[in-house]
Amino acid sequence: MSIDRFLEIIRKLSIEDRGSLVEELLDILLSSVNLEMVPDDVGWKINKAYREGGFSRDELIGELVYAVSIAEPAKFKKILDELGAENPR
Amino acid sequence: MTVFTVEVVPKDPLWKIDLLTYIIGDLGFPGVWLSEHPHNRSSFIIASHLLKNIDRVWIGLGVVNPYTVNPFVIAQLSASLLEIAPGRVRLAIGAGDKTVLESLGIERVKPLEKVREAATIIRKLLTEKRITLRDNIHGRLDFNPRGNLLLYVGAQGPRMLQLSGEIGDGVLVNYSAVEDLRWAYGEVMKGVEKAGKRIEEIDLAAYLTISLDVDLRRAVKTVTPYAAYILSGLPEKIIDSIDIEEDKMVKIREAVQRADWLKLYDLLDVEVVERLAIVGHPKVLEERIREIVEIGYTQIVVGAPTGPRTLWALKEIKKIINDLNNNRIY
Repeated sequence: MSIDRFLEIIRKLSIEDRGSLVEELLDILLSSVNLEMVPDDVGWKINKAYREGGFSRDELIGELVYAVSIAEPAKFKKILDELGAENPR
Repeated sequence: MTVFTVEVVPKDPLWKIDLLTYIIGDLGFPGVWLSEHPHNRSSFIIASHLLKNIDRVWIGLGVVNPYTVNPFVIAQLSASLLEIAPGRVRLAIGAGDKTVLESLGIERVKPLEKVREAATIIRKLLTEKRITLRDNIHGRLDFNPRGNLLLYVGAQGPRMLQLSGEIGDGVLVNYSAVEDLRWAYGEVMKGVEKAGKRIEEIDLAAYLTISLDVDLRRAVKTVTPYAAYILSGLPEKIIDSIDIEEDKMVKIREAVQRADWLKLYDLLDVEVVERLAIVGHPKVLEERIREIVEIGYTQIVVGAPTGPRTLWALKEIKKIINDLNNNRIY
């Protein structure tokens, strides 16, 4: 499954559920001990997205999804299972 | 009034440290303490970035020791940071971790004298820009430091706690148990009295080790490496009160040195972790804060790791602070 497909699933969620999911992904990322695995440019895009008012653009949610998938694959898989999706990359 | 601040450990990439500090400021915490450890990113360099990019919080560096960074250089770095953010820099100095220093080939000689001398050098350079310590030891700053620097002392043992009360504008006390914090308060008081000061003149900070989660097992797992690190550097008086076998202590120290976290999960009982850190449901922290404030601590540092879910834990802590504030506990 591509990130685009994953984003399609997210788009079908209500605004509240989408917000909760983004916050959950962000919490997983900020709590991870594996952040050296996340490319710095991806990290800074996520940083900028948060500081500029959140993750309104799909592209930025995609960066967050990607970062979580490489830093915390097991936790990410759990989220995918809950959403009824497969791994995006 | 007790102030609540948060510790950020510069072990993660800068983008994360920057974002976490931004969120901490967003939540309304007024200050962030950047811990200093030779294995992590430099707290001075990280502070330089944060002070330039986030203006809502002050940044404290601590605990910097005068063995790995010469006190003249600590003064130079601090004065440079003050130029970036006048009035938003705090500094804590201390003796450093003996075992870590030895691993770097540094012998921790006369820690009390060393810290006292470092405080003198830093203060003098930041206020008068010039100091002559002994015949051939002198230094100066050829630029004007902007604003004041609050100088804290990080302390655990009885004599360092006394010294911190005597010479510090503030004290960072790295305990989490109420009985240890109460004892430490008494030791700091001895130093305060020796200096002819009043306790109200210093900022007495309880630097807590916290791991919150509704699932105690997860909270314990997250904080175990931190608890082991603290345990391995504790003064004898506190270790004796924890009742841990000597051979087990040796194994714990070895595992800490090797960063063998899996081994530490086997070696540390939950009871020991709970003695060294505030672990579990947020209600546990709320009750502990009430007791710590009652002792007389004026700052509570929400120390790492905060919990397996950082954002959730910080938001829960903010709720606790708001509740306490509404009930005028402090």
